[in-house]
Amino acid sequence: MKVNIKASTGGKYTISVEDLSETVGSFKGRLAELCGIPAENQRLIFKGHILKDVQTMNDLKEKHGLEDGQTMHLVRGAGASGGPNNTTSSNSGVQPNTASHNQSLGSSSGNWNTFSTSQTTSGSNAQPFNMFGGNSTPSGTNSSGLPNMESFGNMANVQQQLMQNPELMRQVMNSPMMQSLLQNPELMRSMMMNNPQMRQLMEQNPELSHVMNDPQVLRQAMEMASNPSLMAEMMRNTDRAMANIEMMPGGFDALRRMYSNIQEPLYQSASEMTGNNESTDNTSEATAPTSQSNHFTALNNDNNNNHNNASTNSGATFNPFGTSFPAVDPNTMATLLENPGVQQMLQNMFSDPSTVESVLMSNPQLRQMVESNPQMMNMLRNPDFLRTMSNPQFLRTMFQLQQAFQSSTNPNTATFPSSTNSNNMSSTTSTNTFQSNPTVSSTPDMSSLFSFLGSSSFANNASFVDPAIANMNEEQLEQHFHNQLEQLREMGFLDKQMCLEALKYTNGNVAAAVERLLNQFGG
Amino acid sequence: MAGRQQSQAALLLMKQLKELNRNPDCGFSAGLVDETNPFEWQVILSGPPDTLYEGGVFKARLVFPPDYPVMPPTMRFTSEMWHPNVYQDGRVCISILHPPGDDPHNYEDASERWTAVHTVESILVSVISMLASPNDESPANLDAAKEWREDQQLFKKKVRRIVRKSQEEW
Repeated sequence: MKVNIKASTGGKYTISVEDLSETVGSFKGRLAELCGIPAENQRLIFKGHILKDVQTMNDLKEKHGLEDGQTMHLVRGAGASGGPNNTTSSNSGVQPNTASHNQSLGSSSGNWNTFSTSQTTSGSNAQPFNMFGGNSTPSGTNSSGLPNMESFGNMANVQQQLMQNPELMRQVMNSPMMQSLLQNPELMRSMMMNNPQMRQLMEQNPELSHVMNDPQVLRQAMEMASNPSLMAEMMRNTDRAMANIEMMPGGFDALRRMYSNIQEPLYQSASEMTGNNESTDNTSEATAPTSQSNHFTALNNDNNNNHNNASTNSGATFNPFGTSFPAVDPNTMATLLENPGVQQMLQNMFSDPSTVESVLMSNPQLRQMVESNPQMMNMLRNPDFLRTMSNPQFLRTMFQLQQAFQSSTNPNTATFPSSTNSNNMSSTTSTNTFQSNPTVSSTPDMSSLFSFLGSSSFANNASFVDPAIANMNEEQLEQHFHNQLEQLREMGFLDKQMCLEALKYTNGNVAAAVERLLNQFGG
Repeated sequence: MAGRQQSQAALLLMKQLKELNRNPDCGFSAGLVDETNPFEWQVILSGPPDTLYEGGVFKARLVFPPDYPVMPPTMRFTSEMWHPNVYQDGRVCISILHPPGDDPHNYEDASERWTAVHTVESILVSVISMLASPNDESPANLDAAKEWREDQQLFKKKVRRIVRKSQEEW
């Protein structure tokens, strides 16, 4: 174990402690050789406690949690022996009286002088621990605390929306996936590092990367975020702190600099992350009842974002997280679709195929999906199809269809055409387009694609149990997840029941299941 | 609810303590009085250089309320102290340790008082700067304030005495 010593004179020493039964006294002896201060004049301070010579290193470890790499302060004190010190200490008994009576005898004032000179000399090299150095000012702590909250509460926008709904926030935070995330800062970090902009930002700002690399900070931030009231408090404080900083001379400039150097790139990369999240959220949900319609909301979102970029905040903003929630209940969806604003937006979007295309192409994940599925591209390129898509009735039907489709445990081809027929399609041509496409066969295909996409990146978004899967018994589950089970077995997860459980909660996403299993084992 | 708040306070305190000890390049050292209780801290402040208190090593106790950081801790020097803003019993009287809100006497601005933005570090930094420049407008120790204002020599002597005592105490 190595212990750092920081002397009040400014010196820094490192002493290794091998024997835990070593006393502080003998430790001081070794330190004396390094720093030149006699052991009896050394005052060692550790975590607010003055160390006594008789204490052993083991005592320190048990009592104050002494660990490798920790720092003790060394102050030069009045020694127990030695000429001038002796006189002063013998005086100390008398001194209070003389002082309080304001009586300075000649001899004692002489002593005072000797003392004060020795005092100043020891003081001048004392420079007690460089007080205002480093980040010790309150504004320093604030500025380092700030970017950090910003990035984790994640993307001001989302944060705000979540803040407005503490219940939702709690749900998000209490979901098993979030919990496992909380327990795994490393994963958080790697998620952030996956974002090139974020990485660049961190490379440019070493302090920031330090903050981000500190699992403790991450955990704290996440924990903060999980408590709405604390979070609100934090936000308020941040605001107040900002106001305070602004009041200081030059504070505003500092803030502005910070904003342009850190906040802005951070925000940019964060919003890009949300962008990516959106698509993965949706894709990883392939098996969810709302996948298709979610997909559309994603497009809407994208569209909205475009709007927002062009004319600041003109469009209605959707909760980006909203799309990722399994609980988008059909009624909400229906109302949403019947909302004239949404309708108009959809119409606008779909009336121009190139818009759709550009939206699709601007998002790498969507593009990948489209490219690997040419039919879909054709579909989207077909203006007729798009027009149909903009028909709310059709969308609603689609949505119901999806549900019906989902609720039948085995992907039943029969339900598909029949329900399509039962619906009043306003435009027959598009129905044809739809049916002529081998949709039915491509759907399972797509869902596997979705789950593949999901597992490849932000696997952890799939935090809910698909109702269809939840209702399966073990045998069915085993059948359903046969491939995944096999994979897990190859990785060494032999407990079938646990594996099934994990797969169930991750909707068959192997990577997420592994994560979950590891967390379970880790306790 | 109270329990949760308390555990959050404990969490925050442990975090702040950890940070202080990881980055110990300041005029103080802090630890817990009892390792199982994060609400009571033992700190050692070193008198700031180029002041009367230079060379002093002062022990103090910080006691945090269960609803920290909503409410401020109290700080009390356990080493003898002679300072206009420190009561005879060692309690420290500085505005940032006063409960948040408006001063009933309209003396202090709400912004000078405690807010949850403060940390242990900012408290200790404030106390150290208080040592360096006493505020005799709202004295806690009237005698010390009077001396500081009217009889600097006497004040100096008393301070030197407590500095010396603080060095010999241990």
